[in-house]
Amino acid sequence: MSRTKTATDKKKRAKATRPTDSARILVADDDPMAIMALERHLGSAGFEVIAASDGEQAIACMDDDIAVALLDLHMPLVSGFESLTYIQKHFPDTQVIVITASGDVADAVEAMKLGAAEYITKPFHPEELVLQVQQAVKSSQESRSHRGLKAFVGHPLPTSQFSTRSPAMKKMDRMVQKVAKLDSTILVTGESGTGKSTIARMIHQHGPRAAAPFIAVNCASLPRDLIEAELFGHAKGAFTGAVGDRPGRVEIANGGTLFLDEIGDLPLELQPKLLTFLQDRVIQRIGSNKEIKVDVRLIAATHQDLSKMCLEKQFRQDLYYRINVLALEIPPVRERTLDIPDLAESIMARISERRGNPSPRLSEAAIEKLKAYSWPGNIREMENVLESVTAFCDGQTISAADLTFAKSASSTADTTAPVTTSLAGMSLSDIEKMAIEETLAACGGNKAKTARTLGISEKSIYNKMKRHGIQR
Amino acid sequence: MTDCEPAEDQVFARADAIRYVGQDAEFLRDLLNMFCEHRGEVMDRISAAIDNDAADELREASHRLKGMLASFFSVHAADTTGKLELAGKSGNLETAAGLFSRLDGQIDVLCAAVDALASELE
Repeated sequence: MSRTKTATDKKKRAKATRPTDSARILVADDDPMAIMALERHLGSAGFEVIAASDGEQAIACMDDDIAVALLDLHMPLVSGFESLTYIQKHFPDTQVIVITASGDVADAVEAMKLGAAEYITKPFHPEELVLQVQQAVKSSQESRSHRGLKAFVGHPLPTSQFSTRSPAMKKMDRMVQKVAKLDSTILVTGESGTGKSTIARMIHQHGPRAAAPFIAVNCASLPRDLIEAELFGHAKGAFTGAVGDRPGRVEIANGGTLFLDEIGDLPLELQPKLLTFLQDRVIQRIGSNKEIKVDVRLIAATHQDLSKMCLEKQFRQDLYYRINVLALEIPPVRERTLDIPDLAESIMARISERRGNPSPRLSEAAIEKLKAYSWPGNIREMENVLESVTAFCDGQTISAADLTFAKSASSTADTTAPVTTSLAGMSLSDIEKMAIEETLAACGGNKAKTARTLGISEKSIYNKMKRHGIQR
Repeated sequence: MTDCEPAEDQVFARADAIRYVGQDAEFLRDLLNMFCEHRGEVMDRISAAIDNDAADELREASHRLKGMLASFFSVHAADTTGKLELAGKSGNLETAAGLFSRLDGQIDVLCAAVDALASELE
């Protein structure tokens, strides 16, 4: 292909198949048979596939809406490594999966250290391919969602301190700075959508292993029969389809940080193997007796109550103690109401930037409505709500009436969820003030309901609000 | 089968190939046609690289062929192609001509076996 061709020419020539509303996947490989197979398998799974036959064309085809790019590492004109670097820099939400021939595992590992999310080896198995792409699409969506955290964390990577008005998040920021330096195992807890993986990345980037890889594994999204191979790798011939040696995520994270998201979903039968690894710091690939030393920092996260799971024999207590060395609990959005206006503005600015439109503003009433809502889906839900409202809003101001929330998510039970933020180090007076402010917000400013939720009389709530200077 | 002819499972991993195409004979034929379309070009590149003692070109062309052969879960042909790639990588092309000659025959056998499988699936 001539280098003088324009990107537009290449975009025209690059083939898109099965245009649907589903995720867009770029596949780039100079092997036409691989392209044919990828189009076939991914198209059948409902993805929109854009095909490119070299790295230059792949880069020309990139845009913000591509969720996943599958790149062959050995392509003419611009290599897979160069394409990967370009995509990482310019399209940080796009997840890259590299394609390698069997036996080129070292290249794949190198690519993952450069930021590739995953690798597949030829010949790939259709079910595994589709599964890996589905996972990558999910990660891409999460990445876009987490960009809504810009109000709380620096950008492009979460390396700076929180910008927050919420006492709970200020405390979280201080704790993140402290624990990052310690290189200890950390358990991050919090409801879905609160940004646990972002906190994990922050810890990695503030810690002594910042220059080494950060490898994330979502234990909930992997099928039970694949998770062991994903974590610990396998030897050639270990099982049907194991056409070559393959290192697992633990091994790839060597020197860096291993982030096990949703560790509560780790199958019980695999927990001893993880425990053994955490104790001995050696792994064995499936089908191999060779012990491999691995030095990683472990950060685990979950939205589940692991101590309760231990009592119910759903999670090993010894593993729980091993991972719960330092614990961070991220407060849900409803407990950070002071941050909601900034967070909403940040999310809307990003949406507008992507759409190329000026960012609308929120009316005072709309801000109050956002603050009063319980946000059971947290930041991820807020992004969805704002994505929707900015799409349908006619004017430049979003009113309270424009905002609609998922009915099931705004139940009374949600709005009165207990405060679970770590309060150690705060004065009792500050804690009381925070509890009143956030419960008031969660109850939509209803003082009687706030008093009932807090277990005090209506008279007391008025007295306490006056004493703390809370205006409502 | 003669002594020279390998058993079918030594030519390609049949079960994996069937799984790969989802038992779809048409898809398997499409892959085979695509392979036949590009085979000549890649083999010519390998042959020219051996003639010109061009190690890098041999490595690249062999790598490309290895990827194409992977679609059929080939055993022998992929192994020989891998050896050619290694020869290119090491810069020692002494054995390359012999490997190339063997490869050509292995690919013929592979294509015949894939064609037979496609007929069987139809």
